[in-house]
Amino acid sequence: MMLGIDFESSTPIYLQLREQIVKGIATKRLAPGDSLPSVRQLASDLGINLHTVNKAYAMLKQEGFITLHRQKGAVINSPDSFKTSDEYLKQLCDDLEPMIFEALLRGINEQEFSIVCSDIFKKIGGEKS
Amino acid sequence: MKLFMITLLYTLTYVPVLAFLAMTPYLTRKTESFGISIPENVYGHPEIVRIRKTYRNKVFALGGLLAVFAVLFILFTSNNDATLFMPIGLVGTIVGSFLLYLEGHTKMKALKAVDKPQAVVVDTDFHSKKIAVNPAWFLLYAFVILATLCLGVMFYDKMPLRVPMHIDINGVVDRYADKSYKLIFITPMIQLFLTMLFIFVNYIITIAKQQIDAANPEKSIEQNIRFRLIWSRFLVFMGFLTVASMSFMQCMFVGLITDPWINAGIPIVVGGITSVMAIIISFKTGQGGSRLAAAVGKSGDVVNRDDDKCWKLGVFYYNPDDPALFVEKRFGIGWTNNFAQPVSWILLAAIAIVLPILITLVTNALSS
Repeated sequence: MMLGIDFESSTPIYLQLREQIVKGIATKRLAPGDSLPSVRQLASDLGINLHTVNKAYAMLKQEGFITLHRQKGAVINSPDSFKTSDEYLKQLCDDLEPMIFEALLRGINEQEFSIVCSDIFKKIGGEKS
Repeated sequence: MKLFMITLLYTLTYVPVLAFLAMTPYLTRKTESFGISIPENVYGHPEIVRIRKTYRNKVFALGGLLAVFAVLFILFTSNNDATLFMPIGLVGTIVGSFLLYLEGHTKMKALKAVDKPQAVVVDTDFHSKKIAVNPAWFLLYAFVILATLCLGVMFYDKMPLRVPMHIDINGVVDRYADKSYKLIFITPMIQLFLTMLFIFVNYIITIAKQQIDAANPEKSIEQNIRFRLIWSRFLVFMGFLTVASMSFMQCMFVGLITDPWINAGIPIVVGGITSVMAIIISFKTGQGGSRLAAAVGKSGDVVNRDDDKCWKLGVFYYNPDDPALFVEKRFGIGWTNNFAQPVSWILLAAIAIVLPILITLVTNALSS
C-alpha cells in the first residue's frame, strides 16, 4: 500500500500514519494477516524518527487494528478484533459534535450533512479493490 | 608492447571513469541537480542546463589534459615508475571534478527557491518485493574459492622454489617469494574477503532507503525496483568475474601458468570489461532508475521533501533524525551513508581495519 506523509500539514506525522493505515484497512488494501514494515524500516524509508512510527504503531495496537509480534512485526488484525464498542461510539459522538456545530453555523442542515456522509461512504466503497 | 599495454590500461580504466565523472549530472535523478533538490519540471531550465554543460565540458577538458601528461610521462620514463602515474592521474581527475562539482553546487544553491507542498511517499510492501538477487548465488563464489584452494594443495609439489609474486607493466616479474605452504592461502583469503564484501553490498541494495518521487509514485517505484535488480545482478556477475579471475594468480603461484602476460593481462581485461559495463548500465538506468522507461502514472503537484540542509556540500548526508543507514547518492549512481548514524562509522572503520589486517597477513606470508 502507498503511504504518503505531508510535512506541511498541521496534523502530526504519527496521526497521519495512523490515519492512512486505518484507511488502508478500511479500503481492503491492507488485508488481515498482512505485515507492515518494521518500525526501523518504515522510519528509514520515510526519513522520520523511530519514536514517531512507534507511537503510531502503539496507537494502532491499542485500538485493536494491529498486533505487534516479536518475529513477524506489525500484523493487521482480523475484523473481529476491532468491532464497534460502546467506548468507540462515545468517541465517535465526541468527535462529530464539534463538526456538526460548525456545519450548523455555516448553514448546513441535518439532511445536507447526511448527504455529505453518505457520499464519503460511497467513495470509500468505490476505492475498495 | 609497453606502449600497447599503457594504451590498453588507459582506454579501459581511465576513459570510462572520466566519461562517468563528466556525465554524472545527466545520470542523477531529475529531481536533484548538483546536490540540490529541485522540482522535476525545472530540469530543463536554461540556466540549469548551462550549469550541467559547463561542468561536463570542464571535466572532459581537465581529464584530457591529465591524460596527455600521463602518456608523455610514461613515454619518457623508462622504468617501472610509469605505472605510478595511473593512480595519480585518476585521483587528480576525481579531485578536480569534485571541485568543479562544488562550483555547480554553489551556482544551484543560489538559483533555488521552493514553493510547492513537500511530501514523502512510500510503499509498505517495497522491501518484500524482489528488489535484489537471491544471496544463494554467492554459493557459486564458494565453489570457486574451494577449487582455488584445492588447486593450491594439489599442485603444491609443482610450485617453483622462487615464486613470482608481482608482474610490472612490461611483463617482467619484479618480485619473488620463497616456496611456502602459506602462499596457497593468499588467493583464497583475498577471494573470501571480496565475496563477503559483495554479499554485504547486495544486502545494502535490499535495505537501502526507499526513495520514491512523491509527484509520480507509481512510475518511480517501478523504476526503482528495476534499478536495484539490474545493479544487484551486475554485482553478482562482476563479482564472480573478479573472484574467478583471481584464481589465475593461484595458477601462477603453483607454476601452472608461467607466461607473465597472462597474469598481467587478465586483471586489466576483467577491470576493463566491468568498468565499461558499469558505464553502459549507468547510462541505461540513471540514478534510482530515473532513465528507465516506465509506465507514466499521474503526475501530482507536490515535490519531495526538501532535505538540502542535511546534505553537506550536497554529497555527504548527515541527518540525525533519519534512522536510515544507506540512502541514494545525490550526485552519481548508487548509495551512500547517513553519517549521523554511528553504525555508518563503525562499518567504515570495520572495512578500514579488516583491509590492513588482510594486507599484513599477506605480507607476513611473503616475508617468512
